[in-house]
Amino acid sequence: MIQIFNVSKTYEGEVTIEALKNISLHIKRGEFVFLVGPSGAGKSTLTRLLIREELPTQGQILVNGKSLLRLREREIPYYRRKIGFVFQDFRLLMERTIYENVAFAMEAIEFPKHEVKEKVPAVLEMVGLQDKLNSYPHQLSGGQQQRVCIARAIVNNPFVIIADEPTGNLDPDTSWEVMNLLQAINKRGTTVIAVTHDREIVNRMQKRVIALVNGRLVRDEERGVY
Amino acid sequence: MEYAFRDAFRSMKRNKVMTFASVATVAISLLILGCAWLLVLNSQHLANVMESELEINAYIKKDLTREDALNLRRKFEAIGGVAQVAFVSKEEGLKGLQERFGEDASIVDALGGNNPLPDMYRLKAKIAEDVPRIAGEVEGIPEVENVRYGQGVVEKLLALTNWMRTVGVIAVVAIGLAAIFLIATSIRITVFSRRREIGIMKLVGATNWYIRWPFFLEGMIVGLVGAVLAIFSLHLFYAKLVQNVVLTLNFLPILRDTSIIFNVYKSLLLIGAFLGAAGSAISLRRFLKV
Repeated sequence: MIQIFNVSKTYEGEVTIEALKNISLHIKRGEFVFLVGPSGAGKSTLTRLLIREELPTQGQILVNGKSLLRLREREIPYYRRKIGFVFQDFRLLMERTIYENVAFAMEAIEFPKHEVKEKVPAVLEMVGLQDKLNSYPHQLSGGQQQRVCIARAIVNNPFVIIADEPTGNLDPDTSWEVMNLLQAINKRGTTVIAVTHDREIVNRMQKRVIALVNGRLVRDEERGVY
Repeated sequence: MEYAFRDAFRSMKRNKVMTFASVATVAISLLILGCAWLLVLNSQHLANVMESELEINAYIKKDLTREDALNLRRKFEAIGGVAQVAFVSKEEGLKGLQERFGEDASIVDALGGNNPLPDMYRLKAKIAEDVPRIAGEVEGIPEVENVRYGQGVVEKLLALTNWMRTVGVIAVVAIGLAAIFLIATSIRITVFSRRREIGIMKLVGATNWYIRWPFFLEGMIVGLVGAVLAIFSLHLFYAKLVQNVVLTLNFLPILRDTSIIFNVYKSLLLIGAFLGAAGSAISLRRFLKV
């Protein structure tokens, strides 16, 4: 489903940085993949390439058989609608309620109002926040905010969820809640790509682990450890 | 579209002060613009009125008999562009002079019973621009001793009207630019304060136009509201002005043709919407490039 062929990414500047060096990997539909590695290993660069925020310097990326390199500028929004994002810093809109934050993602791609009204409470119930519809993000704990972010990511039925350090700001217990939620979503058939630093989570969950160091793919194991 | 309207109003409510400032600037700009416009229209109107009242006086040689003098009328009427030809005999001329000096002094006595005035024709032109040409042709008629018309006045009046028109256009353009930049700044602040929101919108796959619409609407609403305020005050002001001029300065020909004035209002409204849209376009072009 996601196929990366010999991809390199170089940032030209005062110092030229080779963020990714000749990466090739395949991620199949329904997989749960951890992307691990120290800071600066190229994990974020890889996610930026996947959401077509940037183009690779070399190589090819195919998503569902379509080349991201040949995606036209105006096709990018439609491509992104098929991806759900979860961020370390949640990126919720502070002056809007939980309901509005999730509804926002549906409105942005122009779902009619009545569908938004049906779907948003259902999704919030799935992440266990059905009684927080009218709360504001600052009234929620970190774990709850992350669950709102996950609800927003899945509300448009993406085929893949890209989670960038989803537990980076959370304590161990809440981290587990969030990972379990991602696992539940994965069980329903959505591919999950989770970038993380969390050694314990990776080791205990026994999923595929892709490790990057200095822009190189150093390890790709099924049921791997950090 | 429904979301766009909601977001535009939400954003204006959130940035009340800035929205108010932009509306006020648009209103003031358009008010000045409207005043300048009405001034130009009025000066043009004044010029037209004055031009239409310009006359050419053709004095007839004294050795002509009255009959010959009266027969000259046809020659004057044959000149192209002449609207009106009137004969003024020397007796009538003297009477007019006497009236102008009043009853106290008897001009006839002072002149020792002689009438030094010649017979003359008074011509009116259809268009003011024709006056110099007609005067030239009149001069070419052998029985005419000499020709008087507001030499230079016509030219000066036309030059003044053109000058006012130019100054008016320049002022209007300058003020319009100022308003555009103010709206652009205000929209830029809105865009900046909503950059997180815009970033998230892009990530979830909102198209650029979906993101732009609320800002466009906001700019246009600001422009339109400003225009309505400007038109409202301009209308009150002008109505008052017309009333006062009619009461006290009756001789000043002020423009009262409502259809022309309503056209000015309509244009102001369009300009307001345009200023708003242009202002938003400027900031959106710069800030939505990702």
